[in-house]
Amino acid sequence: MEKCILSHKTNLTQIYGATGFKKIDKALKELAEVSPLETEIVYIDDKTSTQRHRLDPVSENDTDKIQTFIEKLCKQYDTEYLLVIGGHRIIPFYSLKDPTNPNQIVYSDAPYADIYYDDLRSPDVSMGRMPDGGVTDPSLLLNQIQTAIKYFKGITEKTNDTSGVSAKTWESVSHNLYKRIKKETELVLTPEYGLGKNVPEHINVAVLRPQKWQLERPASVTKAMIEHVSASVKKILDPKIFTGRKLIYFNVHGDDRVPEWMGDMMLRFTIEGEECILIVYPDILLPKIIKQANVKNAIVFTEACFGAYTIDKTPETSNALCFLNQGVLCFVGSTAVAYGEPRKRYPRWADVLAQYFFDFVKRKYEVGAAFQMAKQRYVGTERPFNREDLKTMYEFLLYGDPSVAMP
Amino acid sequence: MSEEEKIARLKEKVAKDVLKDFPEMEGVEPEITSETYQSTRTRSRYGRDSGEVAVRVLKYSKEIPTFRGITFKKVVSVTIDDETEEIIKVAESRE
Repeated sequence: MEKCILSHKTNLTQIYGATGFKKIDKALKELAEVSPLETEIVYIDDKTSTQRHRLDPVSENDTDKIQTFIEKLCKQYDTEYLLVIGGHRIIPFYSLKDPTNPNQIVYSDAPYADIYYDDLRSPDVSMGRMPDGGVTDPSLLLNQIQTAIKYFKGITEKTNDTSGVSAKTWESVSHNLYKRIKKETELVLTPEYGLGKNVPEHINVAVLRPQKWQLERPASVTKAMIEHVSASVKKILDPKIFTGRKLIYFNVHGDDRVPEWMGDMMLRFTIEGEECILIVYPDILLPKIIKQANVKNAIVFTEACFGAYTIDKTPETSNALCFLNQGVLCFVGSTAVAYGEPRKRYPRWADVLAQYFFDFVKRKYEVGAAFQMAKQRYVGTERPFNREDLKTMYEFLLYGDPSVAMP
Repeated sequence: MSEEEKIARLKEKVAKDVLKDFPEMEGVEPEITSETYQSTRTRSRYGRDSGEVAVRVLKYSKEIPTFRGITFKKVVSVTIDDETEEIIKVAESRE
């Protein structure tokens, strides 16, 4: 078995009903059939399915037991690719202790891919997942499976060129990384570009100085601030920037409470004799923008915090799920707060992982292998390997079939 | 040199070299930890003979209220080589 498609029959049936499960199972069988790799579907809770591999079923949503099952299965066959079908409700993410904050957890797929255990959770298999957030309609999963089926059948839409969006604050780091992806292609910077000029509908603003105006200020001051901030967004983003792209890269802000990804810039000016410093976070991406673009067969990497956080989300409330629903081949992002280099040219953390991943993808490695090797290279090069490095290993994961490559 | 003096000097260095770019961290007291990291690559720049590197981590956190009503949490984490006092890494959250 070169590739294993793993899911949980009971959980799928409980959420999508018997009819929904049948549709998903049928699509998975077609995916296994068209895949050039020796592929098997394993329902981890189904005795008939697991006993074919001389393994006991795992019915509970116990991540340790699931990990042990995956480890035994992959070791038995030297399996190279692991595709998990479903999100947290179907095959739960591992809850790992946040290395930067012991009071918080990081949702992770890293332990599932780490079958020869090491402390850094370095992947030993090329793993991907097709998440389903909190939806009750199987179409989100079916669309992702169909994307992979079409890829293996050779029915792919033509993609060329690449696009990237970066917060203005991180311009130098993004340029440095982006020129490695594609020379002479400009990054779209935000807030030069945004989704609109209105505050706060499209632009989030925070007052850093003076402190007395952080929470309350005279109406005249608020009005002057809004005028300054509105002027910072010079162009409205055209969704076509994402259309027909091979690779799409984001170095922006994200949050698990709202779907928007945001840019970042510091503004300094004087109002009523006071020196003001504002942080401006303009919206740069929402699901409705993704729907207006044709992103089929694109490979997406985002550094946004919570960029791949999908628990209880839908394609309407998560850019990640929307990208996948709209037919991207693969989406890489973080389930928690991610880190990058603040101001200097040289990439760190998420920047480094993005760089390595795109390096391997451009060399036509399968996306799962590219992601696996990017993490392995990350472990081999980052010194000293600090808490943020370990968290980066935990929190970044890949959505999509890991055995597809850039068309 | 006392521990207090060393901490004061590191804080001053970070304020001068790093926090000048982060006015939002003005007045924020860092959470300071001492840590030892394994350096498994023998050719690592920061690898000591023992295969370990001792660092201090100064972590600055601030919650920033916005016009939209959402509060953003910003974290800047500075890792400093304990021996050379060189700033090795500066991490900024993408939240």
